[in-house]
Amino acid sequence: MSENTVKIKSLPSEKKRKETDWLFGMSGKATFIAAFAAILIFCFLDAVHPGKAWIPNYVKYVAACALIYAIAGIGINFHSGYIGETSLGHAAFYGIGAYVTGFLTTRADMNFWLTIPIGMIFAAICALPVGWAGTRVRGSFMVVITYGYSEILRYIAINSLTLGGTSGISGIPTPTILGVKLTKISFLPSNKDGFILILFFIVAFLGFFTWRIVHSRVGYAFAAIREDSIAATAMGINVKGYKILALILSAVICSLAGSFYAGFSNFVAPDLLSATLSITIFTILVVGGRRTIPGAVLGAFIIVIFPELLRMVQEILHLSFDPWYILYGVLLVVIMRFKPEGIFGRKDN
Amino acid sequence: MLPYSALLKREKSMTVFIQQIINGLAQGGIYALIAIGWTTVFGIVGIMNWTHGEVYMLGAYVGYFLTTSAGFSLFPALLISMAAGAVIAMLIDQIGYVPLRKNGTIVQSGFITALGLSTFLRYSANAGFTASPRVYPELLQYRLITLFSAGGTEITINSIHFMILIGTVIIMVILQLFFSRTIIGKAMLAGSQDMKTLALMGADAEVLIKVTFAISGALGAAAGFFMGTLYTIFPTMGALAGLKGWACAILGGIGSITGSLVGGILIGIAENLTSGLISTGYKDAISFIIMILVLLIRPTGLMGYKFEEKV
Amino acid sequence: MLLETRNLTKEFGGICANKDINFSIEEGEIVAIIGPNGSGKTTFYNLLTGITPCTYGKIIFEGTNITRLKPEKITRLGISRTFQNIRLFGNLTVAENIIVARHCRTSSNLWDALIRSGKMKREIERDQQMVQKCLEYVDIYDKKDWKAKNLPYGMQRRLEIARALATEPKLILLDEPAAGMNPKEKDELLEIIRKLSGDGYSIILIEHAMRVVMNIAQRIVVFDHGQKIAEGSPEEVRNNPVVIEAYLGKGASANGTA
Repeated sequence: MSENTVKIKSLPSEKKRKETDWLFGMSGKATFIAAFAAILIFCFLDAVHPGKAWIPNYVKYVAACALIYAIAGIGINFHSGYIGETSLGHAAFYGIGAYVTGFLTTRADMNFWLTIPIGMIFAAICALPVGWAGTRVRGSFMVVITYGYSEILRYIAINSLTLGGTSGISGIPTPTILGVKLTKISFLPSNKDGFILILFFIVAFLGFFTWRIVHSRVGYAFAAIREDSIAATAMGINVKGYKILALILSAVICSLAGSFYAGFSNFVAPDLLSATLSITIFTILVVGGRRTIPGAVLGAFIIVIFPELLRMVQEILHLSFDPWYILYGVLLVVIMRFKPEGIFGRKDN
Repeated sequence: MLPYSALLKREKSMTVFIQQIINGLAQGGIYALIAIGWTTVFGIVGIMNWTHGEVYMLGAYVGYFLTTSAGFSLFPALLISMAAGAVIAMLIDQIGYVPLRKNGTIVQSGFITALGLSTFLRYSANAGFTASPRVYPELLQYRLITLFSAGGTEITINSIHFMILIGTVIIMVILQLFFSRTIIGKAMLAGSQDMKTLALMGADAEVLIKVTFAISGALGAAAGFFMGTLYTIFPTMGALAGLKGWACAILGGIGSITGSLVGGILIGIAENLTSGLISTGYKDAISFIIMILVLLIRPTGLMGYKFEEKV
Repeated sequence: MLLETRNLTKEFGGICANKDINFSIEEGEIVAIIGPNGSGKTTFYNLLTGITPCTYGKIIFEGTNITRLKPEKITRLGISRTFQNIRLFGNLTVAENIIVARHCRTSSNLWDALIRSGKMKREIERDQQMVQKCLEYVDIYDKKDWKAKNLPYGMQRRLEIARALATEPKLILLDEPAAGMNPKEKDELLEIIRKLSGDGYSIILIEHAMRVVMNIAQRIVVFDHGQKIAEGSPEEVRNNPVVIEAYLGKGASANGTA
């Protein structure tokens, strides 16, 4: 076997992948620039004509929520996407981030930005038992372990007086930058724009981060474990270690989303640990497309915007119930039937 | 009201303890019925049929309308509810899973489809029946039956708990006979071991699957009906109860009917003891704690088979 | 001595899948393991590669005791395998299958991945050289952008060998590489195994196709009911009455022919 074989420039397969990973066949940079331009227009449109609001504050609120969920979507992608497991318990990590931020900012007067890494570390520690469980069971059993775990945490939050019981923690201060509240930055037209811009950069960075990880040695290890964990073991991959790593990565990112939620809504409650939220986070990924970065982000927008639209329908038609959840169920069934890889997913043919 | 822990300190502590266990039995029987529905479908189709909790909820509502508007008495109402549950479960299979089996994507997409169907059913019920809880009429006169009495202490069981226990046992016996005596029951047992081989040997897989769903649905509806005779019913009742049923199935061992019964009763008792001895707040958490511990220590459950992947 | 096992035993719930196996292979040797189905050949591979831990006994590879090592450590030391029921990473491309196998020879971590460090770039370059080298070795380089599961069956078998090769092993364990192949494919496979041996790899081969075994094995070990019942050159084994009995049943050896 000769060592000095022909020098290969770059594998065509890798090139092709790079192109299709992002939206509409754009490159990563182009996607970023397009998204950034869209966000700038969205935020500053109202600054053009002061006094006239083109975009209602409510719409900006929805956009900020969607960006927070997008972070969670990117987070769960590591576990339920790239490593190929199913989790109905990521609200646990989201809730941990939110509660850590809520607790530390209100009870210990800690700076919001400092509580983020603490929440992340705490989420990582709390992910360890689930991660360990994930090395022993999989599939349907992992579903119920994650589900049960977040339910247990919810009962702890409900029954804990220090965490505020069922009423949760309110009065969480809005994060500040250089002493200025994110909601009160003078040159921004509305009080949501500060959040939207910061969240946008975080989502963009996490998208970049995910992409770099997925196309690295670690990402290939994830892919191998997803495809065939026994063959992966035989190829020298530490399957248990990488499974735990994937869960910790996803827990840490979800905790970040939770921290921002706490700072944004100024309020946390045990509902943040509920199965409903877990299922929402999971469906963001499934609807958008597992193992895709645009899917995780735009899935969040779909899952956040649709309920708001339907709430309007509800008001217009004077319905006594919220039609969203009914449609949401139908949406899942239809997607699984006709496009199981998700809206932005690539088909494994 | 005194907490049970304070009561326990009194001289009758043992009586209270035993009484708690007896009170847990009925709840356990209901969980066992749900658990069998999970485990049979999981064995044959290989997916977690997340809609099972919704079949349970719908069964409870069918029972409610039969006993109120239609004025049926206990026994016929139970039977009709079970039949309705069977039909609903078969419809779920037909609408949700049959297309996926034809596509061959049941393994990847089955669970999420189930999640979607379950959400759809739950919130449709919420829209149709309204979110307000409903109460069954008194179908059976409430009275205490003394099981044991000595020296002034009495162990009692109330008539509704007693009815549920008897009902559960009768259903279990019928089910056991079905699996051991009928061709289709035996085929289902074989199918839960290896569906592919069974299909190759000429069994009609689709018929088996439909029967499985029918049984699962009938048991789920029976559980819902029994629950209605005990507590109020509401459209989201299936979420937690369904998952607890799965926890019982795991505790007992997936694929084992006796295991499901044992698992259900153990968790029913554990819940009652938790709310009695520790705190009502953790009553619902205990089944998940038990489930997680069992999965980690003995993933096959108390009576399950061990599956090993061939390398 | 490259690899040696002493009294290697594996019990599954009281049943011995492997019992007191004493086995050894020299550097550069091709040893074939034959035996009826269910005689514990694949279990033996699982023990060697650490996928299932042994109940009792010792495995020594290049003088180190690897009995209790984790599978990934054993791969790193230089034992690699293929699977009887093909276990490729089906949705990854052929080239990516090789890159995954390079995992044990590379070490860039999350941080390297995030900043695209020089180390990672060097590793990628080396990986891609290995992709070409390994795929050309088994002559499927032109298919490198195919998804592994879309390859024809014979090529999947060859990709398994290429993937094993990419871990830079000293010892390759082949588990029925010729299963399901037509005669032409079997000939090509024989060529590949000969070439591997010529390049200094030691090979253990589980195979039912006697044409393959008798052609290339320098030594044959026979398993039956989890035990090693015979060992020797192809000629010796062919005429061994114990072996004939194991394959054809009692009384068959009385005829004295095989």
